[in-house]
Amino acid sequence: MKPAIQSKKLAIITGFIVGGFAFWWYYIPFPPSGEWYEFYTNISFWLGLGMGLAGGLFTYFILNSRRMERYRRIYFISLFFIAFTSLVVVIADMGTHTFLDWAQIHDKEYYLPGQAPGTLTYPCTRDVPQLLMGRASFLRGVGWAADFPSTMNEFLIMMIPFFVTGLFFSRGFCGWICPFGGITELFVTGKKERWSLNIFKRQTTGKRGFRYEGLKEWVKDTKYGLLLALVILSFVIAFPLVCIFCPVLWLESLIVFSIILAIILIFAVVLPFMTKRRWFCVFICPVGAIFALLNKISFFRIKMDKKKCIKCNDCVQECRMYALTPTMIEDFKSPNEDCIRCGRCIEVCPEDAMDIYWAGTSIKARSWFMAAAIITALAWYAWFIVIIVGLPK
Amino acid sequence: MDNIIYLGLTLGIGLSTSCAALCTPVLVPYIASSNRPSIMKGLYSALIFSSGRLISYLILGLIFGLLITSVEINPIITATATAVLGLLLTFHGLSILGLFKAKTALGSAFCRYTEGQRSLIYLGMLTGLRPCIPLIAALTYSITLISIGETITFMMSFWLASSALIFLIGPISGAVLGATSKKISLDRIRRISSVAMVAIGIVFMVQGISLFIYPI
Repeated sequence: MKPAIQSKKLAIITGFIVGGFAFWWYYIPFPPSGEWYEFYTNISFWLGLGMGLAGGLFTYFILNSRRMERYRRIYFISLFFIAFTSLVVVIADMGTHTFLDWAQIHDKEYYLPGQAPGTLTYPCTRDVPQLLMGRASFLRGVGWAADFPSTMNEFLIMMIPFFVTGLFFSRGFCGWICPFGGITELFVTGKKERWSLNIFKRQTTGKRGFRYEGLKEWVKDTKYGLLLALVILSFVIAFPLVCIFCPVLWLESLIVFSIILAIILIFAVVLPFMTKRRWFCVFICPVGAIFALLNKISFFRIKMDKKKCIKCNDCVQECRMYALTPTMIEDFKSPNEDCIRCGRCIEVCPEDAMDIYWAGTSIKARSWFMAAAIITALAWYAWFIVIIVGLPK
Repeated sequence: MDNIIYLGLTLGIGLSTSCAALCTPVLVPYIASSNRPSIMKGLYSALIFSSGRLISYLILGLIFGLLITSVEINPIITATATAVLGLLLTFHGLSILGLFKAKTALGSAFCRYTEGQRSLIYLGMLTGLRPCIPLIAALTYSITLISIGETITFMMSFWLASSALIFLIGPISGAVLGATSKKISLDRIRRISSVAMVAIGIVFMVQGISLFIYPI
């Protein structure tokens, strides 16, 4: 596989742009005030510098590497650990009992009874756009406080950037930005699939015996059904769709927590480990279903070069999302709407026939896609990182 | 009597959004899973579903209006109704997905009780038994009524007005789903809506079990 940017100079410039953005994002937009002023003033420059260096260097390395997917995997799993660590830090700071008490009331009343506003927070992604628009009711304690209970404005402020992200990346979000996907990715290991799970696959009989034709329709459609249920249920319990992945929501009730834990164990741990595929993302994830619906209008697509492809089907074997089939390769079709642009097919292709392109064109866009994904992740993860750095003071 | 009808209609209209919020998760996936959804089918389903609610309302209205002097629905009834509603939705969804074959005795039993419009009446009845703000408000008023005629009139006018939005949601869902079915195959819509039905059913079952453990 060729690097996304073959010129070192260009890779350095792109890394510099990404690093510069990270520095600005973590330093400039947060004018500190209140009791946290002194602490934040001391660390904000270093936080900006650290994030700028990390973002810039990583961008340079991934753009200039022949092992794009492996770097992506390390980065992607790290994102999960960042999100997870922030949760642990918040629980440790608040105490388990207080946290569980708060989890049960947080969607109706953000603060515990008798608690001063601003003295408690959780890295809620709905605050990021608030921050961007300069609307954050700043950090009276630690982090930036959200206005709870949520209003329609809050909902729109949260959902509009979310949909813009989806529009831009489609399911590329699932491969590069999702804070939950890392757990599934962590268990996708090994060289061969341990279970083939043919019961879930469509197969046709040809001259050479059985031929894999992708997943059965009902398997692919289950996530859309769950999305429909969630949309309908949100008439009754209004909450942003992405909150379904919030651990605070899961901890509201023991029964809900047990069910979600079982689902995670089966679809994000056991099945990915046994099949080398991201079953949670293919089968369950309603947020992924939204992004899959946006696939047709997204900016980036994986396409294959007809002249280069030798139809070895290595990409079909390696696709983590069952997004490719031998028939699609024969017909030179792009991966289906479940493609997460992880770059696995690009990396394993012996002829460099696969790549990321601007939608509807023949212009390669792998470097643009990767830089944009890293910038977006740096923006969305500000909360988690600020909490990890700021809370245990 | 006019006053009672007027009160029933006012209360029902005022609280119809709350009613719609509780009924939509049950009704819409059902319409979506039907053969060739349309405006008329949506309206028909809304009518059948609402008839089920009317039966529950009348029974509750009569019990509360004539026998009981204060509104206090036993939490066990609420929990059972919610859990059974969830169970019925789940089985209906699973039977549309083809997971219960009519060849087995169990399959035949489930198909007999969950297929066709009869199940929609059951779903309506069970939804009517779940306490919501409009229902409790109506039951509170029905306590003040002294005759069966007044109670029936009041509950029917309350039902009619509180169902107004549902009579709108039904045909609109039918129309939207009908239009969608021209682009997406009907089988796919049925499959997706059945999964939604199963998921919503499981949510109701969990809610019902929670009510058993922690009654309101």
